[in-house]
Amino acid sequence: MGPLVLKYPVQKLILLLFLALAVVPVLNILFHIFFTPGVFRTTLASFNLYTWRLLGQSLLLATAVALLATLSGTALGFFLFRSDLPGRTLLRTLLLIPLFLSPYLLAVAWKDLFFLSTGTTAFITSPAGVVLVLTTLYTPLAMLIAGTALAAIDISYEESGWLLAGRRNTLLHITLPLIRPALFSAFVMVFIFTLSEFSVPAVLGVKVFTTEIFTRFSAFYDHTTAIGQSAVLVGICFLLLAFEARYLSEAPFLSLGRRGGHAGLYRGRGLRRVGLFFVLFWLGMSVVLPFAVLTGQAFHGGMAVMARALALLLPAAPSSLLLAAGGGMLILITGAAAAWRRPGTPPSPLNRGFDLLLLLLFALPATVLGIALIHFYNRPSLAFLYGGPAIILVGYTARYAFLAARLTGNALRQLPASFDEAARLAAIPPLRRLLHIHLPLLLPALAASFLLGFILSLGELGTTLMVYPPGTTLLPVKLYTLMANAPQPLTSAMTLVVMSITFAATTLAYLLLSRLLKRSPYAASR
Amino acid sequence: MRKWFLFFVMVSLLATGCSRNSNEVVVYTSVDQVFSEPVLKEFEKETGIKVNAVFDTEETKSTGVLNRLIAEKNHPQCDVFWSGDPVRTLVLKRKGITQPYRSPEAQDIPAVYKDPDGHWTGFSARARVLLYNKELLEDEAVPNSIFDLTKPQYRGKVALANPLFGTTTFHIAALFSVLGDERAKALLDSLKANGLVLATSNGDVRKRVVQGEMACGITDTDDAFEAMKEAPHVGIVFLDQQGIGTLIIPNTVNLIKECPHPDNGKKLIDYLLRRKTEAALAASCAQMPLHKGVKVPEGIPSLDHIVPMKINYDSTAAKLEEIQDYLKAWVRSF
Repeated sequence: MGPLVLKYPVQKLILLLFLALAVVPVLNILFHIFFTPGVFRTTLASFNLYTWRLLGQSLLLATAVALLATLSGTALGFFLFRSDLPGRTLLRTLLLIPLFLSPYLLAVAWKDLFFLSTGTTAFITSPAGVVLVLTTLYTPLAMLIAGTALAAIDISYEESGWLLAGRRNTLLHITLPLIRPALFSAFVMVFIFTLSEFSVPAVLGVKVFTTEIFTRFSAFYDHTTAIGQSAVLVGICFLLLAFEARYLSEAPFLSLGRRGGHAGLYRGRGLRRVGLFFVLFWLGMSVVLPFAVLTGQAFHGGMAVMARALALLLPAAPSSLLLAAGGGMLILITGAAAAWRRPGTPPSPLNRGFDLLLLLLFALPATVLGIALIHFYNRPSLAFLYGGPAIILVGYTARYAFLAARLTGNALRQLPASFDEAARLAAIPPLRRLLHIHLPLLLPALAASFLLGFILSLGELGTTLMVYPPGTTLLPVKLYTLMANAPQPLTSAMTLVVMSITFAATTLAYLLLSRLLKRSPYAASR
Repeated sequence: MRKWFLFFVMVSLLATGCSRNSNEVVVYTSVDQVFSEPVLKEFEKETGIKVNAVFDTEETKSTGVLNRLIAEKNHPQCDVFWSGDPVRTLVLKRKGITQPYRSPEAQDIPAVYKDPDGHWTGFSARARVLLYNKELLEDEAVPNSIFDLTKPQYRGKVALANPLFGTTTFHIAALFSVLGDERAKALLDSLKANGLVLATSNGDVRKRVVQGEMACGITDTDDAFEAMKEAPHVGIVFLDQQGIGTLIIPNTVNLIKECPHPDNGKKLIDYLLRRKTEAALAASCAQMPLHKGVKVPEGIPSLDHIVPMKINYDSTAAKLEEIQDYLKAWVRSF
């Protein structure tokens, strides 16, 4: 035990702290729920035919969205990362815009779009409508995962294929099979996101398992059953992750740059035409249409409405950006610590254990996480944490550290073990190896973790609403509280303001990180 | 330098958590921020007591703060809960989260709008009204009673918010109280058979009527008046003025049991229950004062001219609990 603790002590310290601050509160409430006499039976009794049907509907929707998003994302990833399509960088950036919008607002925009263009909302308020909205929302994520995997393919495999079997056969029989683990990873991530998504089905009036949990919370104030039912969602995610770990443990995942090799581009006029048509079609459908609705509604009220939206929301921007930056940093540190191991080695039992714990927090509905934090922290001895912004940071980290752990874990898998071995043979101490070899090589993945954590923290509402200190003003909270009775033009204008702030802050952070990355040895190798 | 910056950020974050001012009051409110915040700011200006507020959101059906209050029960952080309706207040009372406080400012508020045990007091009320689109309904075709909505001429034209949440829940419970279970169930079944559309919220009802997707819908007066400001082609009707009357939904305010600043909490409650606050809320969101003789802007309805539904708020809350399973099944059947 001694040597195990002494190895990488900083990592152990970070994980211990995370365990105490974020994991223990959740385990505490789950333990309380399942070991209080009668509670387990009550939760079981809440599962009737109707509930099972809702769970089935949720699973079907999640499967459909994950399949469609993975397919579309792979096609987009191919055209934007591996073909010679003009304007690839700009198109890639534009396609990411849905990630900056909250699912709730996107669903409202789609509903308005359907009514304004067809005079009815019948289609969009059906399960097919939910699939449409969520597919447009999560396809960018699948695109990034598939695209970075495509870009990381060792070119020598494909070059051999091109010589012997032609480009089409190479694509179908070499390239796509090579990125199969990444495709499965994209499927799993989108599936989990969709399964725990509540606001889109709620806005579109489609009953799913998460809306049932919400009803338990908000119509019956029955926290016990709601938390019990949430545990079922977590269980399903565990099963999926176990399946993934068993069969596809080497799956690459999203990273900022290309690590594996300098993959060549597929070229050809026909390919460019098809690619341009598909990418522009997707851009039009997922970005231009909803964005046009929001812009049209916002400017319908004139510039005064936009000015009012700015005046209402800008005061909340500095504190939100500061907290989101803090959240991004803690998410990065926790995720990196959870995934850290000697480069080139398989995940240790510690890595696997934390992967499960982080998934538990990631898959848990945001309200349940909020309630768990309140139950644990709301006591006089911990008032210094509960009464201030620190509790929001704990919430952000608990919700999104899983993603950072996945990013870092994947990057670690791609680091050549030879660097570490050579440094060991040269008797370079561990800290110097970490600071001067591993960290610079991991910078792209760490930067991606920070950016993703920053964006998600900036828009987080579910847990924040449960724990934000009274008197604090944060962007998502302010937007949603103000829009409750605001006229449509003001609501749309406020949405555009929040989106612009997120986009501007992310771009700035990206530019700063890019400068940092240029100085890393990774940049020199490109 | 960087280390110092990080240290400074961490210390400020923690310090903000520790520096709780004693001359403050913490209020959680489910009333829309656009309407509640100016009142709280005014209180702050007048008394010098800092107000730390937690507001609720439409996305959580305005139940986020209530769930938070329930979760914080063992160590309350909130002094005053200002609710937009009596439903949430009564849930808190039932769960033992409130304490009695009889404000001197509420003496002339009618007894029906106050808890006999002093746990809540009502003020500035909204009403449940029918919002209709003038382009889709001629004047003579506008319904006057909730029972009219079951007639074939309104088939598929009426929207109602999901009755498992918010004021619609209380409206249905009130109908059960007034009509009795059998008649109320028959009414709901007839509405469903006549193609009633369940909207996600009162705001959604408003939007559908304004956009012309639905000819009419039942909603609250604040939503209805906002709709009339936004779109001149919509109008409102107070239903059943010759029959069972219109449901009146007062704002309610409670003092939280074992709250950290009880004295300031009482001061805030007194402030909210003043005539001046009712006049301000009448001007900002068309809420009807419960004090007699409060001056309201032109066009704002007055309780003096509306026939209210005769209910007991406590027993209606009990009825609500009783019919929850039926309501859930009714919603599932859509």
